[in-house]
Amino acid sequence: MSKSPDSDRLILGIDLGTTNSLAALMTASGPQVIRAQDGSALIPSVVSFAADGSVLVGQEAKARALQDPENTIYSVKRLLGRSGEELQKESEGLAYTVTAGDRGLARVSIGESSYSPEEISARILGEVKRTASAALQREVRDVVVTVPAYFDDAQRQATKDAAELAGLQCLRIVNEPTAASLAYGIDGSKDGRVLVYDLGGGTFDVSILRIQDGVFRVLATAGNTQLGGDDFDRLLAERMLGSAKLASSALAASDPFALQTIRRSAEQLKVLLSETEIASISIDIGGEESVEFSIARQEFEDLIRPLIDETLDCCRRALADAELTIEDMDEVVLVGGSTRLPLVRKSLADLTGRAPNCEVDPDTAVAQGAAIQAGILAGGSADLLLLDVIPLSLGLETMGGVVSKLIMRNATIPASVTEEFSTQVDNQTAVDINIYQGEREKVEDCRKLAAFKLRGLPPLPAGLPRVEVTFLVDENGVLRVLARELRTGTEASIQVLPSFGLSREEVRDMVHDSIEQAIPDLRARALIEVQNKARAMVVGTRRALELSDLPGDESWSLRAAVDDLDRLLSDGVDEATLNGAVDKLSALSMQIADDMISSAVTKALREEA
Amino acid sequence: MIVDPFARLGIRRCMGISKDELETRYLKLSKTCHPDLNRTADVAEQARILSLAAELNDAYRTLKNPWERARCLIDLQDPQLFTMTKKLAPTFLMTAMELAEDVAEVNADRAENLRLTCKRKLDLYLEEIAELLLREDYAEAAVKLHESKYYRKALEDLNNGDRRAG
Repeated sequence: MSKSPDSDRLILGIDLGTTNSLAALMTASGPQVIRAQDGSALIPSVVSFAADGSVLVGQEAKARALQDPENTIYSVKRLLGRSGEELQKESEGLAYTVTAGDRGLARVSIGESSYSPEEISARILGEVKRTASAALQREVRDVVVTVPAYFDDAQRQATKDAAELAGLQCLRIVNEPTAASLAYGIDGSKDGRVLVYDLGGGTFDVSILRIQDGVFRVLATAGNTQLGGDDFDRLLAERMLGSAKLASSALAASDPFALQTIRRSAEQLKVLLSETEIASISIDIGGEESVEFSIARQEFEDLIRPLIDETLDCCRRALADAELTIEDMDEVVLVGGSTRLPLVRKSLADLTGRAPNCEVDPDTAVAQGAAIQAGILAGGSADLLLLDVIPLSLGLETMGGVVSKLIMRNATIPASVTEEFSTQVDNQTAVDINIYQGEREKVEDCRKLAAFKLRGLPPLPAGLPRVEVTFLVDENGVLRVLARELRTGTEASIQVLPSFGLSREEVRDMVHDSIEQAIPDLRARALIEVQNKARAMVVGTRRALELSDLPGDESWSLRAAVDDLDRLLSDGVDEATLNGAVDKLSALSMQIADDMISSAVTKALREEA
Repeated sequence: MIVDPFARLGIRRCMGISKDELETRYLKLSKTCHPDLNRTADVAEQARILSLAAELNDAYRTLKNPWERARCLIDLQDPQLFTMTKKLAPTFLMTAMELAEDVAEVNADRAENLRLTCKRKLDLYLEEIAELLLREDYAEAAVKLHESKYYRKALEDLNNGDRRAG
């Protein structure tokens, strides 16, 4: 620490966790965890909506979980940036209700109303803000928020939106294991290669870092944003419900009260089993009755072993991506409450051949690291620098539903790639670009992040406009797109339609508290969008048909589908009908692309010969 | 407009660069241009630093990998040469065809062996290419680089196969 942080600039580091959230602040003597008046640092990430309209957050909300499970929201982080459909399996085990709202986005139902995961997360961030403002006697506005390293673009964006909804300005998103490594290595004596194993309440990350002269460089990361302590509780709860005594009791598995009681008991048992070889608990099944349930550590470990094995596979993958072996690691650092499980420690010791480093506090290391990064941003630590990576490859949809990779996973960020696009029809003034994130080759196996629409191209013959599009992943791991028409120098404007989470407009509206939705407007816009997409598909597919040498039967069915779509377009049918035809055509061309991929290698070789 | 990664990192344009020197230069330059360390700059300056930092990361990524480094040396000499070098010897194409089949049909027991073979072959190619580049025989280097691409792709497929299975 060469300079002391700018005293006018207060930037708080926040760990927005699945189970608990907390904040820390960089001071001259290092990162300080913010504590409430009662001395507690951890704020339960729980929000409870009371019948009288009041909203409780944190400890008070958690206390209501048993009496009002349907209106008490926990683990909302697992819903961030995801669709209702993706969460179908996930939400079965929850005591509250998750539905699919507009554009299929996940929403949490409370009585007659529903909330986006961003809004619930904003409540938690608001509570962190209040606690910190009270403790520091100063209004907090600027923050650094941590996210799992394996969060994709949509989940990161959702986190930023939640901060904005809470009236906070999120200056930086930092990956949790990277933040933890800052807390671990800040004293400068820990140069070397470090594996950070971060197993929290709902997410798992592993990052391989190189610490060198104050530069904390991530070499590779891997993880699972849907694997954590919650899942261990769930497996244990299922075992409890399946046991004879409970199965025959008055508890019904579908009853939210019962679910919450069992979930709470499972969590308590899990904690007990970290200390003892066998643990038992008495479960209140209502009507003055209770049932005793006991389980051995061995049995619990057998239940969760597949999940622990998955985390070890992630470690091996990250090492392979970093082109390193476990022997190259100087230290293995544990972060996250779930690393208290003896099985986790034993499995890691077996994998690495050494005892893991437990120097950092697994509960607060991430928040402390966020505070250190906040200090860097405030200009107080010019000798420290974080170089992080993008966890999943980014690509573009190309002909036939194939994803062409633009930026590979584990590329250091900021990273950028520039591609040239042109038009397919004369006088076309807009081009659609679909962005996907993931490692697989076909669009249906990746996550669609967004549709970009380049507008304002000069009306020229097809193929003549040259639009240079730069895809830039910024230091937060969030994608930005810039476009320029090269021939005329026109600035092409970009409209972003995120597939997940909120659009910029939605955030703005919500912040200004004016949620009057112009539904007819939205419908009209949706129709125009489908029409444009359909037109582009008709032209694009016909052109591809001319160029390719598809076998007769395949080209016939494709031609028929194209003609069908073209006719519907000129008939001016409604959005749903048109969408159906668009889907049909893409399914067909995707299937053909499938055949093309499988023979791609042989074909490429034939061409070169 | 091609950015010369060697110039960006301030190191001599050649195949045999020192890994340590490359890393040291990269880390030093990163400290001079990273968005996190320039938060007080105005919006335009921040945007400029962001794209400079992206450029630096891309340059380092290119030079760190010997295959990309060779490709970059050829492109800097003649941007068209590599893409124009399409004609490969028929005997090589036979080998490449067999390699593609081996990769497609490989089972878990043999994957590691095949991986090692590909790795060794790729290393040999890169040594040969380095010598050709030293002699400034860019045309032949481009041919060899094309050939080595098949082994590189095979290695990638083998690694991804693992990923999918796991």
